[in-house]
Amino acid sequence: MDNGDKKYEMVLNVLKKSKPELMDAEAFSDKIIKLLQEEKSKISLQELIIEFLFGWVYIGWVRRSMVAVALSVILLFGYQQALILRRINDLSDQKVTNGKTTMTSLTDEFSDKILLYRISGKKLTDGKINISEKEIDRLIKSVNRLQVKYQDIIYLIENDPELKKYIEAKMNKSKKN
Amino acid sequence: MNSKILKSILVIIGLMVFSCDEPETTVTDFVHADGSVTRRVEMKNKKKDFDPLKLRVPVDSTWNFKDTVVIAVKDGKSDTTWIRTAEKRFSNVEEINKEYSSDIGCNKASKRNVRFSRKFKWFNTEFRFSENLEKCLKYGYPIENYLSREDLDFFYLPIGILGEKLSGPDSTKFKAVNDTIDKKAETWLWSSFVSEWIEEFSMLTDGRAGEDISRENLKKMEGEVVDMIKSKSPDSDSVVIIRYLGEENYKKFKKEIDSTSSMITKRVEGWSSFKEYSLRVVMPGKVISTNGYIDKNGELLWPVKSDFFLCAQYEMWAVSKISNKWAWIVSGIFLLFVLSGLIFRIVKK
Repeated sequence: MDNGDKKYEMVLNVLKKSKPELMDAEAFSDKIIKLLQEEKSKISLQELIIEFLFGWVYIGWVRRSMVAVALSVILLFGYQQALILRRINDLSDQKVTNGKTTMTSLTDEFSDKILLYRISGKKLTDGKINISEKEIDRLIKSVNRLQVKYQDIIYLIENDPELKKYIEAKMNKSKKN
Repeated sequence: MNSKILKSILVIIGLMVFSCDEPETTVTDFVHADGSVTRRVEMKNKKKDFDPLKLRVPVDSTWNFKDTVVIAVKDGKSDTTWIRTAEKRFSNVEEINKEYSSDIGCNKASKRNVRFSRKFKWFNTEFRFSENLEKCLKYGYPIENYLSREDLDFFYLPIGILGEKLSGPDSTKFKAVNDTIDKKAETWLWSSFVSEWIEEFSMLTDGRAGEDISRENLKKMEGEVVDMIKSKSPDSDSVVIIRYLGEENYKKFKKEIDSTSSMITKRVEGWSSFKEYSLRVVMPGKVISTNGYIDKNGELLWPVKSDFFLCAQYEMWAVSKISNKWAWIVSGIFLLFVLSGLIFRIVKK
């Protein structure tokens, strides 16, 4: 057994002393690099796109500049909108809700409306007004609906001359205003 | 002060009153985003003919015309009104200014011009349009010195609205307001004319006038002269001046006095013959600011009267904006991109 042990130890020593020989080190390193590159090319398209788009976040000065520009855009937007809103609010004081605004000596109210309509540029050419049948139907339906809804009131007004007179006077007054 | 000017003005005003056959006019400017303007002039007349010499804004054969007749019947009587609508598209405001400079109508003496500008402000593009009348007097006083804020609101009312208020339900109240403003405006008017006369006379005499009729002393007597004019003194013009300047100075500076009077009469003639009209403007996009009135249709309106540009330039301006949708989209995408990048970085960490 002692001989066996001695032989075992001798073999171990010989093995320890003998180093493996690296044959063709360049080819070996090329092979490793090739393997690594192959590994790299196995990265998915999605990851590639994300890296391409958001690669800038890793560069400090680019990231800070982009954030600064984004904040500037937001501030510019806020400032412009606030200014516009303020000016529009001031403008609401100048609204003229009543009264004629053109110099017109026409006595016919309907003519005045036509005149205003023309001056505002909304007149359709050659005196034509195009209304669709659908719109006429809607108009007739809403008139009928109102007549049914207020049937009782209309009946009361028609049968009471004083009430009728009072209502007409009120309507004329509100028309003038 | 020379009441020769007063007489000239009264004659001119008298001629105006008795020769009111110029057509009532409303000018509508449709301003487009590219700076072109479609101008529509609507004229109403009691006669069929529209004399070009009596038109309130320049209109010639290069315009497109449309004539209509409106017959209104009231109390059994018919009232005929001829309406002429003229329209023309101008590629830019300079063309309108050229028409103004070659105007032969009744307002040709007044200097008018139109301006347009466009500013790109990334999210919006702003458009500014203005029509200006240059002031008549160099040394007149601003009307704001004589009228309160409420008075000024009334003073600058559009013609149609003023007429309605004076004939409407509260006409008594508005007529009283109108009378008060008329009196204050009269003081303003004469003070401005006297001031103009003093300044021009002082420049003509160029320091040769004695201490007693120096510019400063004449200015001190200004109020007195205005009161004299307003009291409608029956004194002749020479008596008024003698009382103001003194007989000796009157004889010494008669030439300068007459020159000053002629200069101011000429300056005022064009102004006093100005015929009023209304100006409407339709701007591209949304109106955000203006010094005009906004009517029920959302359109801008200004009265154009001679009083408004006697002592100060009368500017009728409006600013509107159009949103640049592509800029909003680009900015939105950019902000999303930056936000996504920051979120990506936080997630990767």
